[in-house]
Amino acid sequence: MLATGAITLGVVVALYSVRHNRAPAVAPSSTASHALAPDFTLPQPDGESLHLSAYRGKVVLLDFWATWCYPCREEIPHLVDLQQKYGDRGLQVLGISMDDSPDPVGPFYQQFHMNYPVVMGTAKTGESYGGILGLPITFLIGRDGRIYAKHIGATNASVFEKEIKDLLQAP
Amino acid sequence: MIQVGSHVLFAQAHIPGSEYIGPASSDAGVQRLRNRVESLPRTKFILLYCGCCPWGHCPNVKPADDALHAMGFTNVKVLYISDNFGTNWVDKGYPVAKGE
Repeated sequence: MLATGAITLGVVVALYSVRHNRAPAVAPSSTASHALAPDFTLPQPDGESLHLSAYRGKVVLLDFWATWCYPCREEIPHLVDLQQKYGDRGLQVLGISMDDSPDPVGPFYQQFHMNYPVVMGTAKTGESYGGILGLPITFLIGRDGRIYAKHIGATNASVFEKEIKDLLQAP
Repeated sequence: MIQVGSHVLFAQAHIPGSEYIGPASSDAGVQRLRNRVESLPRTKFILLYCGCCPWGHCPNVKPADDALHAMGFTNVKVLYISDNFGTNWVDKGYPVAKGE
């Protein structure tokens, strides 16, 4: 009876783990339903422009965030780690700050040791991505410039990592 | 009705008739809120909302609510948005306005 209970508990735990840790499947080989990520040219806090199209050929993790967003502050260190780990293999993390002003972004960038470019977002940018009406919202963009995943709210880093690895392996 | 979160989010979508004041998580935002309501009767019904992120993590609504109560306002309500404005308002098909 004890063994039966242990087996049952093990099955329940396994099912729970599978259900809650399964990352959304990214299918780089299937492009029909994956829209091209809207291109943008936006200013970095120092004023220099950044073009999304310059990163075609890389896997891009595009993160909409703000300095005052607590879930973003929890997520960003993990994005820093992912950039560090996969940057040499073709990953580029890009941050789009939805702060009203670039003033707080520079100090935040230093405080959080951010190692990827950050630009200042606009309402137009948000609308082009379907409406950024909450933070953080993160997109995974393949080497072909198409969107393969969208995450609303803070996301477990392991989910991002699996998707990144899948996309990096895609042709 | 006052939105106390992000202007970039407000410009994309907000509740029709609401005003944007600024993130109440900042001192400047709270001061703009105080300035806006200073001349209002303290019994005026004021509705605050944000919707930047999940309710338990919102840095804006509590400072705004606290500021108004400290000023003596007695009829302040905060709109409960559990996840974010997009999920809990726009996606539900509720009325939305865009722009400034």
